[in-house]
Amino acid sequence: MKKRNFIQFLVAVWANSYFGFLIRGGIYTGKLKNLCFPGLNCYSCPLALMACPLGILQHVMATLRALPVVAVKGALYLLGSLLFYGLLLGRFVCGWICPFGFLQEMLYRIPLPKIGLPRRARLLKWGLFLGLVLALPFIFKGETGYGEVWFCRTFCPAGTLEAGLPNLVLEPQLRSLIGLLFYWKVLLLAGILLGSILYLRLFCKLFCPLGLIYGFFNRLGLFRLRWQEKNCIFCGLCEKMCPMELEIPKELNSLECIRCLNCLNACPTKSIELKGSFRLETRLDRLPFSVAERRHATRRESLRRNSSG
Amino acid sequence: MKILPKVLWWLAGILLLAGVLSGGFRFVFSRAANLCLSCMGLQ
Repeated sequence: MKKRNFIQFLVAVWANSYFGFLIRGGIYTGKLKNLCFPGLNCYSCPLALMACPLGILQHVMATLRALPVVAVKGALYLLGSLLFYGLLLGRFVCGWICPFGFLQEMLYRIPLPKIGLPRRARLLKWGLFLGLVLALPFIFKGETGYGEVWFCRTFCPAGTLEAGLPNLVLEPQLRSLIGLLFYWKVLLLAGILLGSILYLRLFCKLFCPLGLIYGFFNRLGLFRLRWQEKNCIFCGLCEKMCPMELEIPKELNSLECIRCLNCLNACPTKSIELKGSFRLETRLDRLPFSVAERRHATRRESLRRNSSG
Repeated sequence: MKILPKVLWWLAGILLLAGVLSGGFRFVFSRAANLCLSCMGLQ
């Protein structure tokens, strides 16, 4: 198991480490539920410790018309959290933290034939974000005056897997509520899990609205990837290793990069670097001939010698 | 550091502070600490 996968595993276990439901029943209601977890992790999961930011965003939109003051307070806190996570981590959340991303990566290891999908399909997540996360919860309101959490209700596979199925096992009285909507969600979950075996990170690439939000911080966040042409030997290894099938270096900091750092680790000449955008790094970069550059030059020279010899 | 990330860091701090001081976390808690039937596709 790679170091990154091990970290993903540890985070997934920690985020879902409430076993009190075995004694008391129900879900966790402690202080950590005041905080948003950076990744997609359903708060109705009996094991979950924190709140899912995507679910809360829909609740904000759904409450905005009925209780605008309360919703705005929640929105301030949620947007502050999302901005903080985005600027600090960006899509590192997707590559290193998100439990659902980890699950998809593990499924892709199952040795079955793999498929490709057109790049245009990734536009679907824009529709889900604008439609199911933002617009529908705000526009349609029920008898109580509140809207519905449309993405969670009709689409989110994490909700079905982590909350729907386990809670139906643990709480038999909920089984009377099973209807067409639940069957649809189970079908969708099965499709996404099966699809993830054939196509790496199917949900992240095509459907995840949270990844879309964090993607905007790839160019603005604390850490960015940088390509140094002078070191590159154009071997194409970085593109081969990219799970998101990006064109490197063109798309190093695009919305789609999940910051797995496979490209950086695969590069034989270390021509891709993770740079902090804080001041100290910028000053070091301005030095005329840094230690890093000297190291790159030595490596490049040894590569040249090997290829000519 | 360019100006936009700086502005966003400040904005994140201000929003978080405003969210905490106004009790916005209670909104998060009230939603996250209750079993969400919609999330499970049961409602």
